[in-house]
Amino acid sequence: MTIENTQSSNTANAATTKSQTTPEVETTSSPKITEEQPQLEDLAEDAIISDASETDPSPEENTTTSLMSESEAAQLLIELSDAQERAAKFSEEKKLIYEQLMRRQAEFENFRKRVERERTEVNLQAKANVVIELLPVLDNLERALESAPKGDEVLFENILTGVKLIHRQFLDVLIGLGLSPIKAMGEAFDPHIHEAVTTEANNELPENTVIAELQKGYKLGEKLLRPAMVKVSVRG
Amino acid sequence: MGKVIGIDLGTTNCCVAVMEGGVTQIIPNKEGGRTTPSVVGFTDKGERLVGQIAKRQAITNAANTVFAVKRLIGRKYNSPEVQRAKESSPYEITESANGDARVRIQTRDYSPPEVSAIILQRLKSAAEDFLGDEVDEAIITVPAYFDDFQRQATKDAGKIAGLNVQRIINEPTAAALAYGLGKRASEKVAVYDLGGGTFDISILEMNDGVFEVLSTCGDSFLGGEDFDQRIIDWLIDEFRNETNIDLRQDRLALQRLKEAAERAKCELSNTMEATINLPFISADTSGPKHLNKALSRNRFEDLVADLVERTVEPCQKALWDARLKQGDIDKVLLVGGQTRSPIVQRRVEQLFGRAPSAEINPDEVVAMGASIQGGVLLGEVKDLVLLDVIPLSLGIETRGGVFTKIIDRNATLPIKKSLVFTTVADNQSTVEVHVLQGEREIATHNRSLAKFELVGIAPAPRGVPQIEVSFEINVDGIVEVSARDKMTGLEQAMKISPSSGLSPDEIYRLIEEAKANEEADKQQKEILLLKNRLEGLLQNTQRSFSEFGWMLSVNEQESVRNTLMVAKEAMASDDIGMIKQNLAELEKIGRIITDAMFSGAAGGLGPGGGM
Repeated sequence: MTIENTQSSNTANAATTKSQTTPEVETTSSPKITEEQPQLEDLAEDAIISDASETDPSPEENTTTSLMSESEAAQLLIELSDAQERAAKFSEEKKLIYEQLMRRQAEFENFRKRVERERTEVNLQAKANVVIELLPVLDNLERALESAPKGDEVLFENILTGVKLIHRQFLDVLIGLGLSPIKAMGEAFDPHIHEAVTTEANNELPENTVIAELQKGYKLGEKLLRPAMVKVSVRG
Repeated sequence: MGKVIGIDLGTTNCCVAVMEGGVTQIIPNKEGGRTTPSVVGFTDKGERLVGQIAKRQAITNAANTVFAVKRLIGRKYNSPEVQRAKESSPYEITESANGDARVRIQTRDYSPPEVSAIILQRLKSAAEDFLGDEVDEAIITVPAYFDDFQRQATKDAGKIAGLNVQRIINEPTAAALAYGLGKRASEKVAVYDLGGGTFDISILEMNDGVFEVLSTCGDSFLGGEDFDQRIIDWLIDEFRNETNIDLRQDRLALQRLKEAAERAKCELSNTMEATINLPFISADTSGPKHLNKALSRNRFEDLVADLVERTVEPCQKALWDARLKQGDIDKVLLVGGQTRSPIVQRRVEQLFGRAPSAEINPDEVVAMGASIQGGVLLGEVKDLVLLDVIPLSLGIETRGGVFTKIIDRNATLPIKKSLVFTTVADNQSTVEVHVLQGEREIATHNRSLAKFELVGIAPAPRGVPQIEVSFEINVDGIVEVSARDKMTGLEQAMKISPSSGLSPDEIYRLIEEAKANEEADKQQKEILLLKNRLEGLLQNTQRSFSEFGWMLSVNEQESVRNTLMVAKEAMASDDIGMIKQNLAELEKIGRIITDAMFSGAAGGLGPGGGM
């Protein structure tokens, strides 16, 4: 873990310097060439001087060879400087690519860990998406039961009991999926799980106590599906 | 340097994105949301709540819950914008010693950057959780019309939150980046941004990586929430006509209506009709009442037509200010959730004579663009350079209170420019150089940046002295202004660093404070975790004690009871040390009980085994 982290930050650091210099790549690389050039020129002079000393004994033949070698040397020197320039460019490029690779590597490691983490969440999320759509149905079923009049007819009573059983069955299915209601009534108001929609003056209960639950809140496992909609006490 | 995150710090909602492997990704907050409401709540226990959670407690704590602090950032208390925000703010807005707007929370004054920093800190920590790595670098977007003060204040907010703000970029520019624009030469783009509570229209011109803002206009009090309200009002009216019951008096009913209205509005973006079904919404003597309404798209469009019309004039004005005609716009981009409504898209098409682009989620497009800019800085994105431009013109006040521009807005930085001025009176020995920023002709309508005097001008008839005023802005946006009497060579100069009204010392103090708060948050989290463990252990121990307690000696039973009681009390405290100690104690007695269980069991089995 630690190694990975330092690695990623290291490479990232290097990347900063790089990104800052990118616009000036040409200017930064050209000084290098000028630095190397004096050496090349020295070499060239040496070559010419030594050629000249050798030419002394037999001038005829050697003039041509010396001319040849001079132009050849010049040609070679140009090639050499070209090659060096290219090598410098390649090593610069290699450095860049390496840095980018290291950064990608670190990024991929973190990504892999995240995917791992998310995979467990995806399942829960899929379930949550379905259950959350079913909650209004549950709410309305409960509203219906609550507003049912105290019936005196046996038939009505029987139907009502049946609907109550359906409600119980529906709730059991949801609980089986991991649904649990949130405690609200009489609890201290907690915005992490409660949503205050109204307040009421009340000096008997401590401030910020839930004094009415207007709509039930639910969790799926540890995940909050919907906060409980509540009325909260305030100082009168 | 790790990742650079892109942050859309909006008036009503924020969104964060990051570029990973060349692809932008939205970073969800800890509650799982892809956007976070820009709301901060300060509880009397000293907690700072952010986002959805802050919103849920707003009604119980209205005076200490800050909404839409973006309307105040980098502004003076006396400015019309702040005065207007004051009217609709349930929290108190005050004036600081230097005239800036402040927010008063429980007797303490907070600068708007501090409040924004609390949001940013939360976004940063969500990003760190998501990426599994530290995040220190960010790009933050601001509206195109923000001046240097507002930009600097936004930057300071980032700094206080522990973020190094690499760039502040314009929201419309970010949207254009997200759409991959800016690579071709000369494109003119209109960005139509209808968010939760504000409307902005910006006309941009892009030229080889330089994004110029040609004009901006808007309505800072118009947004999606107004559209929802129209549906709610309609439902309430319909219901009253049918039942004579006024739902406005019923908080629960209103809440249900609000959710249903928003849902219907979203549905109507894709369907021709939405059903709003709210059984048992109310009741009277005759029994329960249900609300069941079908809202057709046509009806909805009638309800909101005037709201959409209100965006037309700002658009026409923006075109006019940019000296463009309808057909000159090459591309129209939609930003903000409300632009999903077909009526908005149709009107925009009519206005600009071109179908708008809406392929990218309009709630996320700005954050995505900001993260692309982050990718540019990291070298992940290659074929794009974004050059910094000066957002508003700079100049000085001249005779008659006229504002004379010296550097025009959208000039690419760095830049240096000068103009020669002269005296207005005979033998005038001093001139005052009043530096301002803005686009208005009258100096006082612009933002004053600095004032200084050039003294000792040689006596001369008016109009003769030649005073050269030079402006130089470096790449960091620091402005240097100098005035030089060409005859005497006398010179006076001053540096104007963009300032948010907070001094470096103050910013330093705020950074330390924010860190301390982050520490406190972490501690809070630890306490919570420990308490959860304690609660679990307490329950287990209680259970096993009630089952197997009889196996213990009387003394042991007594000590277990005591430990359990003390532990129960510890549940109510926030003292880490005490909680930890109780955890250890409980573990100890847990072992005693287990030991007793085993020895008891062994003893009980003994004789049985012997049989």
